[in-house]
Amino acid sequence: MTKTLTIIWRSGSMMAMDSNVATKLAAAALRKGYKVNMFGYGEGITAVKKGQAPKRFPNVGEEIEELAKAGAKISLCETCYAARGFQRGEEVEGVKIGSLTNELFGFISESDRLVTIAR
Amino acid sequence: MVRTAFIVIRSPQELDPVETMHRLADRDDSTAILFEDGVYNALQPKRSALIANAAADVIVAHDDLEARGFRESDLKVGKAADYDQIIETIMERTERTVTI
Repeated sequence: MTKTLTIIWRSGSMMAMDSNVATKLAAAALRKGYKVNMFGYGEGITAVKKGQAPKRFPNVGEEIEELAKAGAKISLCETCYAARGFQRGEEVEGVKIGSLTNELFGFISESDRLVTIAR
Repeated sequence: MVRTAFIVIRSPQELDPVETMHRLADRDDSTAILFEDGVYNALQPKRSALIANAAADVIVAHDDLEARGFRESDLKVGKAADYDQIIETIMERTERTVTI
């Protein structure tokens, strides 16, 4: 039975490299054949904004889009998203606008390991 | 005891991880995985002795070491690892993770 890893990230995409650590962990886990879920909330939701154009940093939005294409299930908190003025459709492809109670707890209940990257 | 992976992402000057590590798991059951500024826990003599005393294994994200201008040979404790090795540790060699 394939093991499942859930990664929670909660830091803003530009305030530290936390969201990049989260995406690199997810990419490595997919490479090694594990199932991967990711859930972002709080400032973490900034990482899924479409059209980011960082000049000298990795583009975490593109990384998340690639992870979704590679099979990761990625969701984020609708409340946190709306609280920061984002509208549905502003997120990169493959990310589901969800909630802690549904998506996150669903992810956790099916996971063998849970990693939180936050400060 | 539960084999615990402590994920450390802040420098020891910002947040000292060892007190929490001692409180949550025995040294023999603990692995410290150092990311971002957490790598400084394995580079400074005093700090590396403290984390070596709290975790039997110390793993340092190679990318974050190099990003800060260091090499594996600069480590006072532990070894550098890539993300595949880190995932192996999280998924197969420990049973729970705690982020500090």
